[in-house]
Amino acid sequence: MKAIEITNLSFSYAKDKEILHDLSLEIELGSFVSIIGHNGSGKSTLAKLLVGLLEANSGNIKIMNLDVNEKNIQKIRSKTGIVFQNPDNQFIGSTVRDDIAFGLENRCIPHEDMDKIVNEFAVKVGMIDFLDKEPSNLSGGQKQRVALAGILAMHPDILILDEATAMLDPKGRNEVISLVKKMKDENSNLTVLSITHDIEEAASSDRVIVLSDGNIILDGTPKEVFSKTDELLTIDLDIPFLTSLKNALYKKGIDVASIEDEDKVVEFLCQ
Amino acid sequence: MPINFSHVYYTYLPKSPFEYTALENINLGIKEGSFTAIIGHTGSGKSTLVQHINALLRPTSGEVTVGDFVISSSTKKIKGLVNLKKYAGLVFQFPEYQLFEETVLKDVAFGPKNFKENNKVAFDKAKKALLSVGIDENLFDKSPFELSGGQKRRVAIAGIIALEPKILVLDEPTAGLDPKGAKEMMNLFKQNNENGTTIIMITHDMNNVLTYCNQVVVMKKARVEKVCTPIELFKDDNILHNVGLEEPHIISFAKKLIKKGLNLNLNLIRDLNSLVDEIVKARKNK
Amino acid sequence: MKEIALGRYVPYNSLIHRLDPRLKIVALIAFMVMIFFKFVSTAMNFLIYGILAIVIYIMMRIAKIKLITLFKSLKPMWLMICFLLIINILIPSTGDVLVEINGFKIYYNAIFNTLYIIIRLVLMLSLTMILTSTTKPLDLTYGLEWLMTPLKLIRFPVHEISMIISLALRFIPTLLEETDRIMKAQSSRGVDFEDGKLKDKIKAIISLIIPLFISSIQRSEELANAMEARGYDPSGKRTRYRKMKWCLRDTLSLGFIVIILGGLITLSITSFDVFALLGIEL
Repeated sequence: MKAIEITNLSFSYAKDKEILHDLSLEIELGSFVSIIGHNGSGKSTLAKLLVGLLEANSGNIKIMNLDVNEKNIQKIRSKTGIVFQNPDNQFIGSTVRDDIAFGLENRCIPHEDMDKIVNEFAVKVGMIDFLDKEPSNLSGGQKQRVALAGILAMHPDILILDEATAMLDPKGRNEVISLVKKMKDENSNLTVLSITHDIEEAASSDRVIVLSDGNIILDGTPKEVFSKTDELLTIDLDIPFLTSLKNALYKKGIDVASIEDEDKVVEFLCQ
Repeated sequence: MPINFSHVYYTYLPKSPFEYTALENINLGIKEGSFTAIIGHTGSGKSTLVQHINALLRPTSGEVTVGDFVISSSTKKIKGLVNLKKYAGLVFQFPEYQLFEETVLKDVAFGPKNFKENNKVAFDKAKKALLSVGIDENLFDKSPFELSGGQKRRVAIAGIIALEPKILVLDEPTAGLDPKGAKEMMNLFKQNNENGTTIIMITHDMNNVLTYCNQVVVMKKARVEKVCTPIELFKDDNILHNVGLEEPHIISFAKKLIKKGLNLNLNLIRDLNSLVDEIVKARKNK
Repeated sequence: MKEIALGRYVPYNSLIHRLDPRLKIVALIAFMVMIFFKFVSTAMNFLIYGILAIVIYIMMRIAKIKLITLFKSLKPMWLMICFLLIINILIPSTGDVLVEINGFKIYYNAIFNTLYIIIRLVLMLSLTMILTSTTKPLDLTYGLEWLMTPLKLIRFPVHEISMIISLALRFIPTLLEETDRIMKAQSSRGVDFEDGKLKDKIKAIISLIIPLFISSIQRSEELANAMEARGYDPSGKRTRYRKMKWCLRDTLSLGFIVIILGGLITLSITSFDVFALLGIEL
């Protein structure tokens, strides 16, 4: 079964400007996929379409074999969880505890079971000592971890990160990324779809999809995608450090393109 | 205008249950014309520190001097300090939230007008500032709310640059921009710095610190931990570990090469090109 | 902006902090009603006010509220109090005359009426302060929601209103922070929020309000997305994580309030006059 199947999807906010154009895409169950693209490339719009916060003009989206439409919306939302960019604007509860419980309340989990679940997931994201803290006393990274706890407590099949680390400092970013990786390791069936413009973050996923002006222009393993330097640079995206180093060296007559590992490059240069 | 902090303390909500000390005994000098980075974790006091430079905050005790301006707790109502805001322009984090006028041009002219410039001069300054941040003339009469995120950021920064400040203070100016936008932004500040403006920038991006800055102020828990040059900072593994910073990839790569016996001069490495130059040079000498 | 601390929840762990929010709301209403009782004579009125003031003062001590905080919050009211006094003096009254200036009579009643209003104001403020500084806003909301449950019968959207209030409370600190930031950003562009001509002041306020408005709209949109994505349906059934627990101390406190309220009602209805009883002439 595919986790996500998108066929011929088009979307526009206004008539004259199409954000997504005839987009088709399949994402395997249990994979870790990054979608990268510059601001305004349509990547966040895609995320909102996936969880039914926006409605497509034409085309079709299937999540875990279910059509995304009005009728299925609550089912779709029980299978997907999404972490948004702004840590403040998705913190719904007035304390960490209440925020983790918010989704459980919506799912009508009995009151008696909630405490146990809230504690379990607060431990998982390392926020157990902050249960009664208010959002104004938490850092951005901590708020995003709480958001993750609230979402994971509902056992989604697909976790979508919509630039979830873009507003965090490096420490917060590392916390969130390593947490997501840990969750993925614990549950190999969890599909993670990370929308980002952090290249190093994308480089560690199974598959990278590059979006530009609503079209998929590159799709493959990080190695395949990041080797297409020229395409990436023409759409104003960065390339990972090692790739750009190799290119710069090549221009000076040192060819290390075939060496993949950073340490091996170091060894080669020191010969 | 040089900036000097001497024994500066700052406490939020003193004598209340919510009391919180954000700055503790800050002693710091920033020379005229420098490009200074202020780094440290969220909550280490960086933002509180820079808000003293244009007297948005006044020290609970101690004294800040900016050129001839003196900011201390005893100066009750600081009339002369109104002008300080013109000399020391402060750009907040996500400054695009401060836009409010009907047109881009009017919004940028708002600052100069507040400092009693007449309409013509204010609009001339606004136009100049907008062009310098790369906003095209055909956008001048648009509403700022129609622009893209990156453009809004530029307009907001132009709103401060139009004041023609001698000191430009920036709180994470590149946060949330895509790589190309961020690079253009940094080059803009570099250009301003070369024209004599002192730049003080709060940042988390160590690559920017390495490439653009000539002084780094490291903050930790309301105190200044270290003041040095970027390369001194990245050479010092102790402080990096102590403050929990990650060195730029360029530096860690160069360190690996040095460890394996390649004779690189770390002091000359500021970006990818200078790294490659050093590698080529070292391999020739070998 | 960060200086606003009046009536804000202060996290101590006093007896009053631990009481059930429902009880505290009911108690507030009961005391407010008591403040407006009328008794047989002026002396009786002041006596009962004195007793109520002592009870409220003791509660403030238990809740660890300093008198100085109360007076600070009264500061903006001096003008209103003077205004009240003047109005009361100007309104023709009856009864004994205190002084007569050029044929203009100032009656005792005028002074007493003003005093009543001031005392009531101070007592009401103290009570509200006790409630808000000992009860988390969210608990207050839950308490109100529970007390308003009967209104569901007439299709009053109790749950929605309570959700709106708790979200509003949740975002007050965020919006204060935002206001502070925009004010500082505009003041870095030369805006003077403190003095200046009326025209400049209006401009200053516009430069604050518009950005604040725009960012609030954006926030609410993002918040709505986050809530929907996590399965929130305003008309759907939900369970509750927070449950209020009624304890023995709540029952005892309720008893205490009922006794005072009952006692005062009796005194008022029976026109009881302790001074007449003791034969004290005033």
